Amino acid sequence: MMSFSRRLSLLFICLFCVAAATRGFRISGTIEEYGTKKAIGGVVVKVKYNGRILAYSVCGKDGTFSFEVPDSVTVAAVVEFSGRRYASRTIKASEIGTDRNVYLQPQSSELAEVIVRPVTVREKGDTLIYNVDAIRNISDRTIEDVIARLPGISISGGQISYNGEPINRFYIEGLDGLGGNYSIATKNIRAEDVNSIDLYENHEPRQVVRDRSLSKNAALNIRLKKRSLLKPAGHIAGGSGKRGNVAAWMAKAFGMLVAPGAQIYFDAAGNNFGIPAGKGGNYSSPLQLPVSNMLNISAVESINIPASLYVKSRTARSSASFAVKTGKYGTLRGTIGYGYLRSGSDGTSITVYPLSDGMNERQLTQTGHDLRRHQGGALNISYEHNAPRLYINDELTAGISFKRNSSFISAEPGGNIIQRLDNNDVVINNRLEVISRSDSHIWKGNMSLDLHNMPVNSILARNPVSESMIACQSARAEGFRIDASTDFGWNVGSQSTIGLTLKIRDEYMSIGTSGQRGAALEPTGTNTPRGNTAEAALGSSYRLASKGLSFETGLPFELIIRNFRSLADSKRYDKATVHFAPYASISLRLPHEVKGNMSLNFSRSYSGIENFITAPIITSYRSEIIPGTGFPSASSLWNASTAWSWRRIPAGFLTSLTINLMGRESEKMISADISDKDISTRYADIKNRLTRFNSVLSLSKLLLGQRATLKLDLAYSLSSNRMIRNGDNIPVKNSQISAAISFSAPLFSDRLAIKPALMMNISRQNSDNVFSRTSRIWQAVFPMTGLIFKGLDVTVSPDFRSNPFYGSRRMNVFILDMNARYRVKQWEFEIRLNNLTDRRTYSVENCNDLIYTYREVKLSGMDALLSIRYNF
Amino acid sequence: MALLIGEKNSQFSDYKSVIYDSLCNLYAGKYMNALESMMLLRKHNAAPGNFHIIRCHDRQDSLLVMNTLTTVSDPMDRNGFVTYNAIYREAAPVLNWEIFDEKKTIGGVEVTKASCRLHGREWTAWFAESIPYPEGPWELGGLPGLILEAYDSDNQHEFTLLHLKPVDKDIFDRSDKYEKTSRKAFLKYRKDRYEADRSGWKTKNWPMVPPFGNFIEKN
Repeated sequence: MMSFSRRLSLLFICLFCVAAATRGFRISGTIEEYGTKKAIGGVVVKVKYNGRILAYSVCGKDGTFSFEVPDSVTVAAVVEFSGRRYASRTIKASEIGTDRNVYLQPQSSELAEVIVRPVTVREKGDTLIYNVDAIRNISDRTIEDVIARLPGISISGGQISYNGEPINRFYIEGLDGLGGNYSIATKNIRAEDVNSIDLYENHEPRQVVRDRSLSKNAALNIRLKKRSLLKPAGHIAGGSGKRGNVAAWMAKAFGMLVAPGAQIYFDAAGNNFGIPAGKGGNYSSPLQLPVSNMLNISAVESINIPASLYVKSRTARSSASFAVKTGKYGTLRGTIGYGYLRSGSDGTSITVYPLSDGMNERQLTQTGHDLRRHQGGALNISYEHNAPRLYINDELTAGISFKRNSSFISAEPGGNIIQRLDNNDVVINNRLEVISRSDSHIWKGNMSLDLHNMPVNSILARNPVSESMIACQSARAEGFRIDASTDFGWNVGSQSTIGLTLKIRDEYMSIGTSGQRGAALEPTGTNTPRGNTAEAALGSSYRLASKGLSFETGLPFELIIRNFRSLADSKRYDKATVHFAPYASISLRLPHEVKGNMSLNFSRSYSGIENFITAPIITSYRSEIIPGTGFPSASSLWNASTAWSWRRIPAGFLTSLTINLMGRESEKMISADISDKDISTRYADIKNRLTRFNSVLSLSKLLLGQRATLKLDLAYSLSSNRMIRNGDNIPVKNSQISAAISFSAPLFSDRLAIKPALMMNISRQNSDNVFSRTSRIWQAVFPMTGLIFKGLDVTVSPDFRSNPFYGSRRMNVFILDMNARYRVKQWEFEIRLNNLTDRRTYSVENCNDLIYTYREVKLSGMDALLSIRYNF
Repeated sequence: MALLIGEKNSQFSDYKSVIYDSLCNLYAGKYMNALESMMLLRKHNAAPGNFHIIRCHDRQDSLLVMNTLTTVSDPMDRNGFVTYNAIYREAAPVLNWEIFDEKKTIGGVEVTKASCRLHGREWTAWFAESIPYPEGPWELGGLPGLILEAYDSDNQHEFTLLHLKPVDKDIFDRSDKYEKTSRKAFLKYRKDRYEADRSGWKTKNWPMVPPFGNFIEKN
């Protein structure tokens, strides 16, 4: 056994060996100028081994350096000396030793100029910053053109979406001055006036609940260039030309003043050549015009070609908006607007209703022209106080609209008919939302008051020759609704909240109808049911928000008491309904830029009111809705959805996937009775089950130095339900696959910009052993904009479509538009030529829920318009 | 922001003040009244700036900081402003850079990744070995090459090179117009000024008014 002293000395020897093995080799010296032997300061000295920097230093004024180089790399290590205005020198580390003088040769080296093109998109936490100048090309005129090409963002009908979800706020310089009417800005602000676009992911506008709320919507913030700030900016444009045999004209003005804390916008436009002012491209609109859309008036047509090709119109619209910051947290906003639209089109519509035996079908044909006159005005004033502890938002809206649709129809069967449909709508609405927060609780209060008339139609249809009446009805409805709810939440720790909700709602409604319909002018019923709906709800909820994870669940119970009295039979209908709707939602953010959201909702209504409205409402001379057999009460609904997104911003890659699964079961379903002349729909006491699956996959990638965008969208949906047609219960399955791929890129040093796109849609309908129909639609577009010389650009837009028409036939359409624009300083001169192919008709097939509609519209001839625009 | 690298020192400041300094050089010795100088500054979008960091090549251990503070001269009379120009030297932060093998190119220049901790934040910098200037934006520097890009781990602060350009002119030296003091004294002065005018400053958020005219007239 070794003695203690021997063991100690052995330990020291071992430690010495380890120390010797790891000890480095010291190199040191002084850097001097060759010739003068003057010490050089600020020289970068690097010890490198196999290209890697092992150690480095910047020598001081005296030019000295000193390093410890590990023995293991001494043989191969080199020392690099590089200094300003001196030639770099590399010496093997083993040759330097200690206290060596290193001489550097003076050299007048010119620093190479480096210009870095700014990246198109970069991320800053949850904010994506799109650099507009980096992605803008000569084809982009307005900021909407740029936004539409940004990866991850899409625009449809003026509405901006990110990862498939509509944005919840649109800011300009941090202030939301336009509310939902932000298309006024996107369609008018020039792309070259915008510096950058910030996208705030998962944006919760209310500061007070920012750490507790699950927001899956994003918001956009437009940052203008300094030249467009603090001074009026906008444009005035006017033009005229020829459209077929008639003169065409247009006039437009837009102005804005954006300053810190205050913004003013003014917009006015009018034209008579097919494109409703303020809108462009394809458009469609529901029959009823909600107040929020009153400023974006549009025709009732829905056919997937540009309206300028087939609508004869005269439109005018004007709006003025302002937003002012009041204090640190307050914002006052206001908008006033007016719109007028007069539009018409000529065409033929064939509607086919397959019947249950698969052999027979009802076919209704209409040929004629229609004319629509819509006008409306709206006023909206709101005040928002958005502080970290208190949120108040009060919004007052008043709107009025008048719509008249007139048609001259040659119908088979039915003969010649003149139909006039009037629809007037008046709404006054006030919404108040208050949220207060302390360390221990959150209190929310909502109150909404609506005074409205229901936009029920007034219809008049008669034979133009005999003047005999075919259908007439006067329908009106008034009502008011008051909603109040309060939500009290206790904060549990710093991350979760347990809440209780109490909701009260009362609605009064009065509907009156009287009319006659059919060859014998049978009375459709004269009735004025009126009554109240009272609703009280109590619910509990739990919210958890921690870093990267949010969870929310709730158990609301609602008790709905309806009390209606029908004057037709003097009966009073009282009914109580219990509504139970639990929900759960979880959002998580994983590393590697993955975000996910899963939600599960279920609701069940027990019992309900039935048979309280007995008057039918005629929607056209041959169609009526009979809601009088009751609401589809005693129903259940479940919905499961998940949405995932993944982005790799340095690579310019964004992708999102959304999957929805929905099921609904109710005790009643819509039954349609179709005769040779008429269609009427009513609720039948038959259990109705509907299941639907849909998924959307979107990919976008920046290419060619992040200046080009490639986008791919794939969507699939499958639904299964049943329909009752002429008393037969028919199962229906609908499936649809649509794919769109688009690419936009500048070429030849920005002298040419291309935006090719290919769209495909396959929809299939079938019913067990009865019928099956598949419809395939293709579209290819290839817009190109070329810069001929400085100031002059020419755009050519070929558009090819192939649609099915009447079963086995296909309609192939080629449309060519062109325009040339010359810019000199603030002036723009533009000539636009539409429908250069001079095609006269366009046909399309639409299939939906066992109704096949074939439409053929007469296109206008080639039109030419010369316009002048002044930008300020 | 702009980083100017000269023979003896480098200066980091906002870009407007670089234009301001160029104008000072250009119009040196030429008399100009306050209105004329104001119009000149507005035309060229120039301002003296209120923050400059100067790093001497020979003294990497310290930084010269030039700070301009503009406050209302009298809380009751908010039309008057007083400007205080201070210069002080402070110790350069010790940056323990870790250099990685990861490389990429910025504007055609190969850069290498490095990281360090500074003022409580984890910073990532990309420096160009081929440009042997141990400089960088703000207080970042000391790497064996010029920093062309730097950002913190939360992406709250970011510096990216837009344009690197050789310039013949010297860096305009305005340090003699600044009062020499210490960081501690300057911070105390600033605190006193803010507290003296707390209501006016905080509620009205007075803009920083550049002391236009001063330098141009004197040069």
